Amino acid sequence: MYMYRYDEFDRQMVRARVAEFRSQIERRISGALTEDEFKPLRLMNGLYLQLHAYMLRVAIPYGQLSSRQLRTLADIADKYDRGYGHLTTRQNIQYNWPKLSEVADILDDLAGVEMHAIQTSGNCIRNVTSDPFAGVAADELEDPRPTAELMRQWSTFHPEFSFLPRKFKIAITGSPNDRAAVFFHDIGLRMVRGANGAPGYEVIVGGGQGRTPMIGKVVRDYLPRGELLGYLEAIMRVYNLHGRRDNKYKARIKILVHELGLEQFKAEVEAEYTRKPQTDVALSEAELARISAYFALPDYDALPERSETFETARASDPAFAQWAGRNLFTHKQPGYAAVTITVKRVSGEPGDVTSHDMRAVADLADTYSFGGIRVTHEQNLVLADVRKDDLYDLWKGLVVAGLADANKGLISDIIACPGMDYCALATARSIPIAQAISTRFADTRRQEEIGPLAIKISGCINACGHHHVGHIGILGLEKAGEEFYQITLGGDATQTAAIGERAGPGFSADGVTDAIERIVEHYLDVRDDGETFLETCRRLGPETFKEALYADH
Amino acid sequence: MPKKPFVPKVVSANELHSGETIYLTASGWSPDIAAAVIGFNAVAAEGLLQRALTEPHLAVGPYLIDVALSDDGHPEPVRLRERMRINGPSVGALNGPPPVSARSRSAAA
Repeated sequence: MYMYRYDEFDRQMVRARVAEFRSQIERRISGALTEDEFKPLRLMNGLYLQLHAYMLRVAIPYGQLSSRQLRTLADIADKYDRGYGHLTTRQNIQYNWPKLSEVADILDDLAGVEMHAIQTSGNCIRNVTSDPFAGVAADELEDPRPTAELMRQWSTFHPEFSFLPRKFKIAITGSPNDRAAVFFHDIGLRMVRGANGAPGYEVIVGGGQGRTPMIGKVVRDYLPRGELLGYLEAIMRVYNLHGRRDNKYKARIKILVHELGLEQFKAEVEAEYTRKPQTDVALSEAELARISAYFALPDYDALPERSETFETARASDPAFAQWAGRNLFTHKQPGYAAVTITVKRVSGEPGDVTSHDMRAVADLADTYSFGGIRVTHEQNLVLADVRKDDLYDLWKGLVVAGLADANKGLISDIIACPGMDYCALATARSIPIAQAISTRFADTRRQEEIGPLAIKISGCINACGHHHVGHIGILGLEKAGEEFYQITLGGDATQTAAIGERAGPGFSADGVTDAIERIVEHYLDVRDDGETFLETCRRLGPETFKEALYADH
Repeated sequence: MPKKPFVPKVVSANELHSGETIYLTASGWSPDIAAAVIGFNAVAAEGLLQRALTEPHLAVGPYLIDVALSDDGHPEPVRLRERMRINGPSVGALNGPPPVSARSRSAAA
């Protein structure tokens, strides 16, 4: 498996952290620590207290897992939880039912496979996210994973940035086709080339969702690669100094960028960057080469781009053809493909994976994809390096495992936060709405007819379900003791970033699915040939849907 | 403007070890809201909350919730969130048995 491996220092650091937290838990249980004292400590270790139970969020750096790690996650689900985990919109996994007294044992088990729950909560730099096809995408300029790993090492336990005004999220893409939502992060990075062809980054700051959604703004068109950490430190310092700490709802960097204005913010960052010598964090080519070595290409076979085995299977098996037409992604290595395993079963809970699912995927990864798995921010899994010759066998394995849904990017490939079924902050349920919609549109032929359509559902204004960037966004709120749902239209998480516009008055839980269907039917009526939902929405404007949406409401 | 009538309240929290929903009773804590002691006026409710705050090693984050009384006099949460806390997740055969509070409540019903 071609991914970063701990060195001895990493191992000691994580083990020491587990021992420290074990002691803190014991002191909490004995009563030596109050909850007020314990809460910030548990949050530094990814442990939340939700509606019905504790929740432990485990870090999956830039979404990369080995099959061994995935099996351990399955074992933890069975041993300490209720046999399943939940893939998150930041490429992590969380368990919904751990017991406080067993959390340190879980963390010990995780440490055994080089995993932890650090940087999954609290006001620190969170787990860095990236393109799930990083390193294999045919459209990629450069593999973003070495930079993501570099930022992970730089940010973990960084003493200056452990008590920020608010949480801080960084995402990076190596492709111009953004699959990491970099315009909706506190810092987004796009790998680019300078005028002389030298590698570097476009730096985007101040994006985010939540109650004040904003599209990030470019503060540097081109930052030379070696200057990355120094420049990031300058941004973090400006934020740490000027970011608001008096009001958590105005504490994210997007508010600072907005209030200062882009030019003033840039001036502050550049002044800070000029002020401090950067030699201590300047990136040497040797260090980058050391990290990059962990992400060397696997031992690919030399294959022709076209696989007769694959083409024959596709021609003879319509179900396989449908899946292959939807869930494959173009690989940069001839004769290979990247595969998305959608965790979006009809009537299922988006992103929930059972221990059985995890072990099945781990086995398939070992057989067909060099033992590697990626978690996507769309709450799916990816096998990144599959020979086209093996795709039919892989698909048959997925069918047996119940993981062969051919719906990547379609209306049933829904992002949904845990919502009020689990989350202490939620104001309405998300998962049942996703289930109802996926049930209504269960017919895969109908889904294909509709085409690409991203529905994203949040159970509160904090927008963990990314509703602002859904082509159709759904926000759950509570009104007079009942759930109701606002619909937004035209959001876009990619390089053509847009925040969805509210369609109008909200709908009851019972009325949402009908409302979505009215939107979809209107789209099918008015679309031009080959036009996606988002393209239609942009051409005609979101208001075109209002009449259809509220005609009988 | 007429003063709003007082809404009866009970104290709820999360149990320290499991995080499960619990309620303050006359003698301690219970996962069953039917056993909760009810504050029928502001002074009584505040007194219950203060009592709960003296047991932080048992119950995490105690707070008052609004309740209505059923025909048989049992408190029932007014807000959706609190109803969810009684019943557990509404989704997923994956979730295993519902929390004790839901079981004991349905057993009592």
